[in-house]
Amino acid sequence: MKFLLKILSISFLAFGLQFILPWWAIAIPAFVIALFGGGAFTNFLAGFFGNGLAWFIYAAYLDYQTQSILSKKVVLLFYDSIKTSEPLHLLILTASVAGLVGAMSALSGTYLNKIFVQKQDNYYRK
Amino acid sequence: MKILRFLIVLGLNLALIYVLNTRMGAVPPLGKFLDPFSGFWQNAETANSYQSTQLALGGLKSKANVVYDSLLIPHIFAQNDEDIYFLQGYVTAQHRLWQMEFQTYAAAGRISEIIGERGLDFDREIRRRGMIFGAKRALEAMQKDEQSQKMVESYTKGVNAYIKTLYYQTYPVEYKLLDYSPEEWTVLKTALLLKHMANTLASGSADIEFTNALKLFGENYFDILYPDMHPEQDPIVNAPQSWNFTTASANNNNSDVAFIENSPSPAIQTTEEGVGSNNWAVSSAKSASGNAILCDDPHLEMNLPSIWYVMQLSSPTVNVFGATLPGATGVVVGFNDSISWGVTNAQRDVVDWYKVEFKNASQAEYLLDGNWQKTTKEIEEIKVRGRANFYDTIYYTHWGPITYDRSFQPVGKTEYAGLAMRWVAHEPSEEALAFHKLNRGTNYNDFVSAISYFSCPAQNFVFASYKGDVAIWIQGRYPIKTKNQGKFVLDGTKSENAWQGFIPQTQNVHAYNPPRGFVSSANQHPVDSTYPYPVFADSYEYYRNRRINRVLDSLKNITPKDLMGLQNDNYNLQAAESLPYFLSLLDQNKFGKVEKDIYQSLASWNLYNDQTAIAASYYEIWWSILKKNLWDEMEQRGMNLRKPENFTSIKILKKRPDFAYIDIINTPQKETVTDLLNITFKMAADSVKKWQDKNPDSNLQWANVKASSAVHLARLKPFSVYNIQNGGNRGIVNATSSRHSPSWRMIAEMDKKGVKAWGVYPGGQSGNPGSPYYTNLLDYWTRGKYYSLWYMRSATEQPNKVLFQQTLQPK
Repeated sequence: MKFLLKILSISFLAFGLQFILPWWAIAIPAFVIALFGGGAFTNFLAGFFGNGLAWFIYAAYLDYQTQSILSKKVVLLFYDSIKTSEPLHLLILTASVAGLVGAMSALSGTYLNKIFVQKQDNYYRK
Repeated sequence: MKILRFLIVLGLNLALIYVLNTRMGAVPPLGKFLDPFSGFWQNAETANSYQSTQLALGGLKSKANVVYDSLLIPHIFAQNDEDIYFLQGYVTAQHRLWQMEFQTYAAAGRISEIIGERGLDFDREIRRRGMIFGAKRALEAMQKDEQSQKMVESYTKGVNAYIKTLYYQTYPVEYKLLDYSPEEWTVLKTALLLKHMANTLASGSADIEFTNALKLFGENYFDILYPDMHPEQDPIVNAPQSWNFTTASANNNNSDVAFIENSPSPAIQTTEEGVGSNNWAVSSAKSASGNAILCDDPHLEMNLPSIWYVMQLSSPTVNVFGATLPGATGVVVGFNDSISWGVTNAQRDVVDWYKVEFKNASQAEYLLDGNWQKTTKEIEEIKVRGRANFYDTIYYTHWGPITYDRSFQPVGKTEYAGLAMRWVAHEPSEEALAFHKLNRGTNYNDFVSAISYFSCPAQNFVFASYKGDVAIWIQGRYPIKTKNQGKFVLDGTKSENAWQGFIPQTQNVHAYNPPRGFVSSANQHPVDSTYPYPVFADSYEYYRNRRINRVLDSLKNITPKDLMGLQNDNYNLQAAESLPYFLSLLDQNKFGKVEKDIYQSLASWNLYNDQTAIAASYYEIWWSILKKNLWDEMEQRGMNLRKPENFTSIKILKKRPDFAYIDIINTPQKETVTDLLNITFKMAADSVKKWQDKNPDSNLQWANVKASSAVHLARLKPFSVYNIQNGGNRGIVNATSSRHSPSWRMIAEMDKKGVKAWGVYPGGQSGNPGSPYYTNLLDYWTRGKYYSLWYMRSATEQPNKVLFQQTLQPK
């Protein structure tokens, strides 16, 4: 539940920030949310899916609206040769790029957090 | 330890963002590019993306309206001429910005800035041809004339008004893909664009190839291989003995040929095969309605975004409709309510090469009439993406720029020689003014006075008016030459080899309401041999023009529909004149199964290169193999040589069966015409089998074999269209070859009650590959169909045909 909430808040914030800042602003929400704690692996995944979701949903929405008119051409640029084009591949690539940035930012945030909250962790384990 | 761990991950994180924000080789910056909020996803459009808007534009003088019809053709209604050009710039940039800028990069030799080192040879050659030099001189001329200056400045302001509104999210998709930004438009860019057309249409010359041929084959053979004009030709104006004016003739008859040791091979294809055009106008006497009808279809490289942008420009002084060149002012091919006009390329040789002798390798001085003259040096800075700037020194002589010298394709091993280019496009000129006046013309006299401003690239201007008049002018600025001057490289050490001035414009070849009731041109010879000036060109067309004239001669009560048929006519006159002879020499006893089928197919062929015709494929495959083997001597000499015209080649095969070059030189025996035809027929059959093996899912119909394509200007495959199912070929009225085609088919009927017009082109009004209007006209074009063009009389006419409107006011 907490994990899902994390994903959605990252997604929501990334979405909002993009209207005022360039694309790399999607690094910020994942980083900040990870600062509040959580394990490295969980945060990594939350960052990945949070950002991936934001880009996937918006790109998919635009693509649906425009009946893939451009994505079915652009996706061919990423293939070796012209073959049947599959815009879904481009959506997955788009989501993965955002996801990767989110995941790495979340990881950075987590490790920054660990520097300061070390004692509490130790206390709990004892 | 934990701090280190954090720093490492943070470092990796930042590196990742950096990488995704940077272009890597051909891969665009992935983060930026794929971002759905600003990246390429934002460039996808639907018909609903075009919504009516109200805008306030800084630079606009009065209120204006832009009405877009269902084809996305803008109809601009402004209250003065400055606003007309401002809005032409603004609207064109809205739909074609990337293309218009890219073309001026090409015209200025700046392609390396975008694509890196592989553009360098192209850029150097463009600059060494003096393209910027020519554009600057054209600009000076424009700025001397108040009208021209206003036009180009208003246009420039309009383009920039649009560019200023752009940010990454709204950039055309090519900028995102190639990762660069639009720069400010300048008046020089408009001048460059006109030079770009001159470079495409009037920079070709075979001087170097012909000089090689003369040296190799001797004068007798040369005249057989490259005759000035065959008697079978049907020139544009055939009026022997009617040229009774005092000629401004050359004072002396010198044109010394200068032979060159190692000929340069240009980085740019100088004469593009397949560039040409058809136009004609039938007078009131020949048409069914009693209205003159004008047709034009310029043949150019089939590119996307399309070369033409169609629009209507309306102000209190003008109401004109037609095809414009993105980046240039006015309508180039079009009509108004009173007159219509269209162009084909005049072909005339307006480029000559002078071999210059330098004193030494510094190229600071060159020999002229026994004295050493100084060259002037211009250092060109070429920015190369991903590499240090390249500096190229161009030396200018009084002939023109030295295009080829030791630093760019050396022309001699032992001597300090260079080739200087003398080109009419380097002269000051006022083409923009010609179109301005033409757009406002109402009668024949207006037409003649408007086109007198047009110098280069020389065009055959065809004309029709609502009064039923038709006319044609072979308009351009033509140097006065001696008989063979400009056929070969000239000796640049003697000033007497220079051009002797220019032919007075009023003496240019023309015809007004000729008795046959129509005028036409298709890049053939301009005039009969009694015209007092030499009219040499390295290549004139022989087939399309004769076909067009025969059809027009035979037709009576002509309707626009007949002429649509003629523009799409696939009759192969070359095959008609050669195939029966070829077939008669084949030895049918030696045929295998495939040869027998091909023979049968060819023998029963109707001679039309229709898209489904399999026989057309057989003929074209055979002809290309035959021509290659006929002129195999020319491929083996290791120097630039031009193969003779198809018409000449066929005539030699028919009339000179003993001609030395008919022999195939790779074989020990000496082949006769019969041998050559039988051998190449067998080779063609093998080639047919191979094609079928390679394309098992496709049949041999002509459209598949020809495989015409419309290719994106940046050679991006997904933004191109391949295997367009259309017939024709070069040499056929429907001149659709694999990469060239009729680029704008227009028909205008000059009805006294108001002009009626039809048009279509292989592309679409939008330059955006993500728009439904990017290639939406291609289907009609391919099927030989036309759109009825909506010539609006007022901004409020028939709102139901309107896609959307832009209501504009000054800021």
